[in-house]
Amino acid sequence: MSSHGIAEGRPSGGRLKLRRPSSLMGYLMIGPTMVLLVIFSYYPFFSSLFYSLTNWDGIQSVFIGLTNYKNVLANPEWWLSMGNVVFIWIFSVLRVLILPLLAAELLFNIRSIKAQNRYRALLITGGLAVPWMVIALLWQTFYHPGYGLFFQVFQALGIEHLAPQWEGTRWMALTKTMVMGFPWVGGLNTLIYLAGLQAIPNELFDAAKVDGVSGLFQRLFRIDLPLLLGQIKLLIILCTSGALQGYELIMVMTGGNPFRQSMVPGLLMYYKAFVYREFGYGAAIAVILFLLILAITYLNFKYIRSSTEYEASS
Amino acid sequence: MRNRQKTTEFFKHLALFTMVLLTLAPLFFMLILSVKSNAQYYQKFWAILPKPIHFEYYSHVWNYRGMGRAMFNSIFVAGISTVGVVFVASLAAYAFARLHFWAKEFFFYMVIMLLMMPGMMTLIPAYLLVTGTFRLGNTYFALILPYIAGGQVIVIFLMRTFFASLPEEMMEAARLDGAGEVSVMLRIAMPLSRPILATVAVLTVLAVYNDFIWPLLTMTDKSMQTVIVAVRSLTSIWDPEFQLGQVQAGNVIASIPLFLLFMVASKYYIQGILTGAIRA
Repeated sequence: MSSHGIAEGRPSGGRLKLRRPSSLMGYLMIGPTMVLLVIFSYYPFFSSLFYSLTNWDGIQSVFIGLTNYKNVLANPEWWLSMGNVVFIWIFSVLRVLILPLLAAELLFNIRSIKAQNRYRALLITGGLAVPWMVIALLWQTFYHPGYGLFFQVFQALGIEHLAPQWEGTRWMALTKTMVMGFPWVGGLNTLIYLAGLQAIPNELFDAAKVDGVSGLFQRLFRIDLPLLLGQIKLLIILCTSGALQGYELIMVMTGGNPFRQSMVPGLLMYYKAFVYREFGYGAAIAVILFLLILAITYLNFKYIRSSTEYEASS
Repeated sequence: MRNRQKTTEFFKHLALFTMVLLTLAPLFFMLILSVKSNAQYYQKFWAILPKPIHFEYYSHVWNYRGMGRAMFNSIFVAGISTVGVVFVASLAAYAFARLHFWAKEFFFYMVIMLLMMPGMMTLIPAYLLVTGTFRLGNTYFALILPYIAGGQVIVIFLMRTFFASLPEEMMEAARLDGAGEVSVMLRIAMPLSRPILATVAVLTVLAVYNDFIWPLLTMTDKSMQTVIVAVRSLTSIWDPEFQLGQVQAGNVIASIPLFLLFMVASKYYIQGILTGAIRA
């Protein structure tokens, strides 16, 4: 950056000095940021790597090499968790791909702008203006076998013996966590799709019509979906990292029940580290998950990045 | 032909209306269930206006079960953290966008790489650091400092792009008038960035308010809990006066700040997302 400004003398006389900002200013301005990052992000990151190689329990620490990793991989609960993660992942991808996309298409194709904005505002408010914990606790109430909404509906219809036992088995416990929040259209996902749709230039739609693409379904599959690939991939990536690492929801909805069958890796880490104080073991779990995410991201970059990805945004 | 268009339009409205209904119905239930007694839960589940109506659950939960104090904690922490994030991140974003200093790229990559950092890698050591080494457990710093440290990453990312797009002439003009660099930033760049600041503030408040695990771990003192942790603890029934409605009353109370936030700021949030804050 060169200061080629014309330094005009002020009417009051005297020369103007155009002060170029110094390097020092740059460092000062990023100073707080870097200090905070090092203390709360970088140092902990490398510490985790280090802890995972010890048996640190808050009192004493002995270097034990890869023992923690061996123990994790030999733990049947670990593999149980990974199985649950697969289930959760499939469910979340379905949740994120089908209904929010439908909702975004509906919003996009509504004629009246006022109505579109109104529906959009209602969906956003319903989805984001309420804390996730509130939704979780609310649905916990719905799932209760005595006074829960589901049971009440079955009871009103006279078929209460058919009512689902939401905590009965491993798969029911996982399902109830994933069903929560139906119809899953409130919040960010729908907005992201809508943004993607609005970014498609109108000329494309007109050209398609000229080329004979008629009817909503044809247009949907031949125009919209290919052009939404970017958003779809983003959401799938978020689902993947969420399924691998997420555990707060499971903790609140099932706590790992029944009998730790709905355990997920993150929850295992939480219990091992903060309940049993086995920090080394917990750190090992965190590192393994980190490496998994890294591997998936790498694979995504290398193989799934297709050259036919359409860029609709200008 | 027009009729067919009208029918499809009707069905679109019907579908959207159903979705909105299904999304908002649970919240409606939440309100109704927050004033019903245990008996009414079982016997009069479907009644919309229970008789008698139990508004006292709200005051019980606010005063006796700690929701009032928790609300203060949450709002205080969210507010201070957001101000902190905006302050720290704007400075850094401006420096990255418009200044030149040795190893600027390196430092910027240090910031951006953290977008890839999974929370779990930092959780255990950060916990030990904050509660053990720094002995900040059960203080507001235990929440505020890590929130600023974590939240600034995305904010720097977004604001740097914005700052970089500003025309240099404006900064030059201010510098010609003798303004120091910080002054330039505060008087020229910041006022221009109000829309993106609004989006960024909403994002940060949402993230801080909703955080669960970290406050759960670092705030063991009940009077220092945040709303999200406190509302969950409402479900534990040591209180002889426990009523199921109280849990829902707590839910409603916990929702109010975010609801207000969205009343005020949803326009900015939506605009921010729609105009490409999602340039991942």
